[in-house]
Amino acid sequence: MYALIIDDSRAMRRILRQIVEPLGFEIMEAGNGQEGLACLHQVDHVELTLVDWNMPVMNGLEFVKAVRADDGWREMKLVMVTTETEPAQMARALMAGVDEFVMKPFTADILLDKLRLIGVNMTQQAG
Amino acid sequence: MSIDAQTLQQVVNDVCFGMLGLSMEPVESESCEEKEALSAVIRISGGWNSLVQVLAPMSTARVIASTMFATSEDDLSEEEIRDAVGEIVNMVGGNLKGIMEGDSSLSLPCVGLADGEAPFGQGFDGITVAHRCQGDALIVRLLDRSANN
Repeated sequence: MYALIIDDSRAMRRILRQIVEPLGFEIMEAGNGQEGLACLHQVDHVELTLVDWNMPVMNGLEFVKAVRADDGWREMKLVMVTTETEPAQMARALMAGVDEFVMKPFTADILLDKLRLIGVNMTQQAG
Repeated sequence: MSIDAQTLQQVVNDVCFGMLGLSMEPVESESCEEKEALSAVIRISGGWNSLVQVLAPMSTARVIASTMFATSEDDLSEEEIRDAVGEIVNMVGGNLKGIMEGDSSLSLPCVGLADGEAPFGQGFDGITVAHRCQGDALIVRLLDRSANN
């Protein structure tokens, strides 16, 4: 069971990994949307992607649009982990196919609640 | 609408204490001019134009990075330390942008060694908030360019 974490900050990827990995996911990391798309092609099934918005090369919204344009990834849960809070921007992301938002800064509990809310399969609970 | 010092302080506290669990003590003034320090700057442009800077002596920067990477300070690379401070200014800037009205966009953070008054130049008339973060300085400055024009 794979989860993909896309953020141009290695520090943020590490924080997210520490929360998600104990749930039973094998973690893949990417530094932008383009690298994220490449990761998706490497494995059969990615259940969850956590993606930042503001990134170089390919931003999070572009990544979401690319993913949702492909039926092969239709079932994948997409969560944007971002500082973006403007309603108009969030509406654009939801229209593009984002399942849920987590606003930075966040806590582990906030992220886990959001994952439960959208029905992410968690084989283990974080301690 | 504008951002005041109390709001800026609250946003910094939300990031550093609320998310990372770092002890944060507001102080009247703090300086890192005599220490090697990192400067992380992010630009907000569009409906609201501003610059946000996080100034952290290397001691503070290492503590922040150590917390974010969940590793000892001795095991951190220079790149990881800069990345961590850059993410702090990204979160602070993003949250300030969310408070302000109007459609604005956030640049990518730019991190380097602190260089005097850069990027504001002398006569900076924005907001500065200072903290003792885990016992050492953490300074955040905001220049609201919309207000100055």
